[in-house]
Amino acid sequence: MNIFRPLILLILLLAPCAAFAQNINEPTPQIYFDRSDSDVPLNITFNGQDILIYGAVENLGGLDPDIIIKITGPLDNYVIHKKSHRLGMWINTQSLTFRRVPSFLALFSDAPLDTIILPTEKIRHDIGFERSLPLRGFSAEIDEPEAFLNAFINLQKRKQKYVLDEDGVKIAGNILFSAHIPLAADIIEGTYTVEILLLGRGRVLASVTSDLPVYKSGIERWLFELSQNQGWLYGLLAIFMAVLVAYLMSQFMRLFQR
Amino acid sequence: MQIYLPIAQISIDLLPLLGIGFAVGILSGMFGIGGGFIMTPILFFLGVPANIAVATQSSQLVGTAASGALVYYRQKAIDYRMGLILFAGGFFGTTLGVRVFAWLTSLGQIELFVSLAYIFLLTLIGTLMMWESYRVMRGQNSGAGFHEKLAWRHWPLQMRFPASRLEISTIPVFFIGAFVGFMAAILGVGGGFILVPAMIYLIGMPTKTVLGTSMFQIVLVTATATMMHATSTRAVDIVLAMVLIFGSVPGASLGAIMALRIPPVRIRMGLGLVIMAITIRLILDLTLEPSSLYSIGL
Repeated sequence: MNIFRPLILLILLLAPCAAFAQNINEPTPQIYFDRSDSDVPLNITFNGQDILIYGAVENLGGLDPDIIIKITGPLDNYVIHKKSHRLGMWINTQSLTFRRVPSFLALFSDAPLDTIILPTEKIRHDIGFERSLPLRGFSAEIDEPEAFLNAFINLQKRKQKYVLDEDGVKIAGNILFSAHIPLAADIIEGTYTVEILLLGRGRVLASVTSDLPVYKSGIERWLFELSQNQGWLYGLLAIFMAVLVAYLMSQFMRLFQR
Repeated sequence: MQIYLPIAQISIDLLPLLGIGFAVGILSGMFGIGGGFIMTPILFFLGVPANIAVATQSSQLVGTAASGALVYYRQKAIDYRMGLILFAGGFFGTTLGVRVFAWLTSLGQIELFVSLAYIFLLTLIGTLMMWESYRVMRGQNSGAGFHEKLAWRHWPLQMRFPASRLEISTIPVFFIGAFVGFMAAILGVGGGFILVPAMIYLIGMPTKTVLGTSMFQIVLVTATATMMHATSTRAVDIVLAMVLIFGSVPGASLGAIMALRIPPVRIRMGLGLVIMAITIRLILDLTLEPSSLYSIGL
């Protein structure tokens, strides 16, 4: 039950503050939050990871709070190919490049987005997959760039890179909230941004952001950097390791056969 | 159990990888081939990106072929002179192949090209093998001796190959090496499955030196392909290569034992069937309407 321990502590700490704040001035809504992991190391056993985000809100003046949590991965360029039927085969014939779009995007909320956030606020805070994926930088011969965009979003959803869960944030007693956000096994490294919006009657009352570093650790980091920066050395290492391991394995098998 | 591949940047189930390494190892031990031509398409089916599968196969094959070549070195069954001329061609072909590979990747057509090349080669070899083993089963001759009818034997630049008791023009040898090197770079294969039949039927080498020389030249070609991929496509995944070697070396020992107990014709028939199955799967992937017309490029 280590999830609840920090929450209880938080409430105990905050309760007097909240009472005090209300006494002096018109209180502003606040969000306090923490998460289960301060960073995500990609190592040999990495198989995706659930991040628990939890926290509390205060000073809502009697409003029912809504919460949206958005996690954005590092930006990357993607080429989307479209196949057509040519000569009896399905061949890539059209392609469109999306430049600097999020490699990962998770949207979690306590209720369907359209019921808790006003359209104007949605635009202002880039909520929704389409909002984060501006259509630009594509070549002119593409008839329907929107179809490419939708296909891209669907492919990313299938790979758990784009996640929408409109029931993913749990709110308890109008004060506490928590969400489990799954990070896919093949996320790329970089700095991810966690953004939490506190909403009331469709308006954003408060927001907080924080960075979530995702990076390769240990030998994986070393191998990756070597492969990118010193291809010659990496190639020699690959050959040496392959010969060595194969030789040792075959000697081992010979022992085993006797 | 999952394992994270640092260059492919994906996490993949370890057991199927080891299992495939092992199964392909058995085939490679039984047939005296590297097995890359079976491994690479299976890696595609498992979800390893095509560029990673191809580049990594080269480095895995260096290891597998080197441990195989060691066995033939002890038996003095390697024709080094032939191997080096094949490799000279192979170096040329590999250089060209890696360039073409990078170019097709940038066009978004690498998967189509690799699939078509596989379909073409596997159909050709599968048919030849099935046909040959059928003839042998019926007691007809196997097609050895075909090389004597080829005119290119008498082209210029004749050279003696004492280890194989041959005297032949180096030009066709160079070009066979170049073709195999090109395929090695583009398909992520060692090329043994092209080289071995070519050495027997086109060059006319005796069975004694064929397998050893093929292994020797595959070590050189795949090492070259690994270096070129490591410095240009940067898609060699050492961790994936290690996993595949761990699976394939024990498989190869087992395959070598099995090869002694099963009649060779049956073995070739079996390999022919495996090749046919992979070819059919590749053809279906290419001709059936895909579930999504869109895909994210490499």
